[in-house]
Amino acid sequence: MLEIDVSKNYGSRKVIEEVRFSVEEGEFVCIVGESGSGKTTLLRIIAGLEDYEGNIRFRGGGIAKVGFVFQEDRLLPWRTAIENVMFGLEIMGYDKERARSISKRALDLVGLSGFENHYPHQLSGGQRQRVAFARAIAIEPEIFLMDEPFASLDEITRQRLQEELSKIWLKELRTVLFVTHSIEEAVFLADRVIVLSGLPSKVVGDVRIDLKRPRDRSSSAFFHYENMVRRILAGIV
Amino acid sequence: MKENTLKLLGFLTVISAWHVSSLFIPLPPPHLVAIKFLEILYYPEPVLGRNLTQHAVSSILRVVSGSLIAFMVAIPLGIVIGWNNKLDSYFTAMIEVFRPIPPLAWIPLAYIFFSVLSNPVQFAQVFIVFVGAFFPCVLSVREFAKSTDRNLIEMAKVFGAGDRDILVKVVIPNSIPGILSGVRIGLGVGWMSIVAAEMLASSGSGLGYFIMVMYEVGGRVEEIISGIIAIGIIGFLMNEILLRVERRLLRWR
Repeated sequence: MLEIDVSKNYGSRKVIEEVRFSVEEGEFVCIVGESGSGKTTLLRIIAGLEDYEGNIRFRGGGIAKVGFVFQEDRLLPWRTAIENVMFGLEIMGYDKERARSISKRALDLVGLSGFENHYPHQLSGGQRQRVAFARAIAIEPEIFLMDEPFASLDEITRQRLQEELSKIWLKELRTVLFVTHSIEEAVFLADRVIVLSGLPSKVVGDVRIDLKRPRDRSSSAFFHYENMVRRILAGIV
Repeated sequence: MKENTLKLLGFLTVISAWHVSSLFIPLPPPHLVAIKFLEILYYPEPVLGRNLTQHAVSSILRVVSGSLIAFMVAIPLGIVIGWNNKLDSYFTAMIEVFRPIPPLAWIPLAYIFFSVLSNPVQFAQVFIVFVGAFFPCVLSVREFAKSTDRNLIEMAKVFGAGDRDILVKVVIPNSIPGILSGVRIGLGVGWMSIVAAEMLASSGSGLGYFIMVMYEVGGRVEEIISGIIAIGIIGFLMNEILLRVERRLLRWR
């Protein structure tokens, strides 16, 4: 179980006000909210990139390892795909051979077999983001943090990657915290959607999505959940 | 027209202009210079008793030693000040003040400084090259180290990288294009400085010294122009070779 209870001020300005929720292990949670609602700040706090007030506890203690996927791929341009995936493992002190075979498997998992030796500039936006996923998967994190990882991709690529992420998650079943401003994306991916208000951020909704995977975006049940989240966001509960 | 044809045409224009001018002013025509150039490339020129190749080698050795010392200081310094803002403030203003001073302005001072040594001329000339190569290199490296994407550094931190990892795995690789162009430009400035430095003192050998002596023994224009051409060709080749190395090493771009 991951328990979150945080507040955050920039000087006298409150950006996050007692955002409190918990996540079961293996649960896929999406956090939605209008832009500038502190969603990204919340992820950065959990990743240890920002100071905060309050408590974050994982299995009763601190978080040992997070895998972060950013909105931008943030690949090192001078490293090939596989070398980028190896990055986290190298820092953890794995020897090259072992890091390479783990990274190879991670690339296979995201559908990039055969692209190991491509440089980022030789890959499409979608492929680069897959490499970024593989880099996070390779270190076997206890929690995945994803900050609008599909936001800069075109619609078709984005839908395909959502479907693949859903499949990978079903196979691997890890705890995921996924920030997005797309309600559709949240309902498609999540077990639970947590809705944040505008600044200062508070939890204003927590919706369990009871739909079997793979989900059908055009079904009426899907539409029902989208509307539910939309109403919470608009403040009509 | 093809690019190479145009390049060739450019050279032909200069040589034709040279030929025409040689009819009116005391300038030997191109073909005489070409013959002299080829002759002294191998056969020793009698006044100094060395051929052009030997002079070129002495100049190159001075440039390479002065530049290597400069790069050994400039590359680490550039990375460190590009990375650390406090050290940047500390060093950069100082560097910017020294940078505009032409390397040649240091020559008299260098001779005085090194006069206590057994071989002051050699040391002074290496020092002049050092001054010439150091500033362009340090500034180029600094600029690239400074331009390291903050997002990449943050990514590295999320994956658990400490300062050392960030330096070795992110900042330094990111600075490699700056290091390569810094070395190329530094070597170019070093090359220009050494030729001038050689003209000012009796160094016994070197292309600059050769040109100066050829002038002093009675304006031997063919030899002087041969020396100038050698300087040009070597400078061009150094730049070209390093450009190729850059392209090869930066295939990821």
